[in-house]
Amino acid sequence: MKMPLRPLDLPILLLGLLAVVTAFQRLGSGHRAGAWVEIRTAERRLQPLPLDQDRVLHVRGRLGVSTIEIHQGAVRFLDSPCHGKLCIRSGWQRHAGDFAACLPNRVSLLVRGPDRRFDSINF
Amino acid sequence: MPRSVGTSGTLGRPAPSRAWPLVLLLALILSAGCHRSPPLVERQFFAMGTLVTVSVYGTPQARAERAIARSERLFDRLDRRWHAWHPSALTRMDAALAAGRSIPIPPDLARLVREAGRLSRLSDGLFDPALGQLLALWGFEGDDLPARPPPAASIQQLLARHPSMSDLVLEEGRIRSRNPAVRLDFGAYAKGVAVDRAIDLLRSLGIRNAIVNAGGDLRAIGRHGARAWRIGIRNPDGPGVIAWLEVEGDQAVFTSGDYERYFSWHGKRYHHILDPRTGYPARGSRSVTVLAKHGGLADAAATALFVAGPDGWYPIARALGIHYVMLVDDHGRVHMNPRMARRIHFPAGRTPEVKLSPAL
Repeated sequence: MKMPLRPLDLPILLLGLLAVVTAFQRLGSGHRAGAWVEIRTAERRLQPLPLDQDRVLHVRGRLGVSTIEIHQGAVRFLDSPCHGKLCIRSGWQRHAGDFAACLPNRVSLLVRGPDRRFDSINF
Repeated sequence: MPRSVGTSGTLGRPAPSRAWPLVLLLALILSAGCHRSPPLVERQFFAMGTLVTVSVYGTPQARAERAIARSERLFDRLDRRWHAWHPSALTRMDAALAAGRSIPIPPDLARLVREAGRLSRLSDGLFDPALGQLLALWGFEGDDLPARPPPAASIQQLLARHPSMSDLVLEEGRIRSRNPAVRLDFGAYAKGVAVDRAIDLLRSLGIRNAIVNAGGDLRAIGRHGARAWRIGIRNPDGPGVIAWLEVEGDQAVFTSGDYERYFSWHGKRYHHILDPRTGYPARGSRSVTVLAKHGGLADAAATALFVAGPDGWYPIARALGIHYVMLVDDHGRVHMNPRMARRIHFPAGRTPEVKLSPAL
């Protein structure tokens, strides 16, 4: 049976579409309020941790245990069994896309979140 | 009698209600699409002594994950062949060269030796992978950093033997060295070639938009959806970026910096980019960023221009056919060619002193 469109049909349809697309963009991107950190060793990827909950973690790597601190929305290597300590000197990482690694111990951390400024960092 | 969509119009229901089934149908279609194709899939893994990040945009997640896993296996395979101090095809070849023997050379190593030899000649020897013994003497061939510099006499003894890529003879599928002091270490080149190979692999798997970043050096293809890829260039003097640029299409962005591998001894910093002329860490540059078509070329060029320094980089860049260079000197001044200056953006309020070179 034929249903003629009435004047309000099209705007409502478009609004509905907009709402659906926006909802799925927000859900699909996986973004939540605040950032989180992904910690990885040579063998595994740990469960992501929110940066708004302070804690200290001990992560076993190839040489020994790396200590990682999450504090006030940022994360850093507090200690690591490498000689050079470049991972510790790289300091706090807080923006999405920031990362630091202890290469000798094969432990890395990567900040993820909605405020990503760059797709990749060159160094 | 239950009301159906078809009958509602005849029953005089308000018009807007007829639109909702259609909206729901579109929602289902869109939601299915969202699950199949998340915009960005990004994974990290350790390979070639560094952290590799592969980002893929606009490919269904399962396919992107499979492609990234294959690129990880590729890096592992190349690492086992080209590693400079763990047992590999390269270390076996180095042992034979040091013993003065002529041996068959596998095709992948022959390509590396030929191309690295060409780039070494063009760079006037400032990029020279034949100096593996010098890197080993300093202790930069190792998974961790050295504690102190080697004795000056040891450095001078090695330099007096003049190991160089021009000592290698490649003929009829075999390689030999006229100089037993030659030891190949492709640390400033192999990573670039591996990035190129990974990009080739991703393309062969139908990936059109991706970045392969190996320890900070990267090649980007395609774009990030409706916009170009945005690449931040790390500040050599502290946290954050010194500059950023956009890349789309296909371009390698490589930086050599004195902050990547270094140690301190009696208050002095010693980094891993050694000057073949002195045997000591090159002085005058903090970092050099190069854009080029291929990672291998960009990798070798960034090293050579770093060694050449703020007063010597320009003719070497011309000889190597590099069209985009940014060098940060040890006073924080930025040296660039005009074409690079048009690509580079500095963060608001943090524009450094810039010295422009003639066109490249």
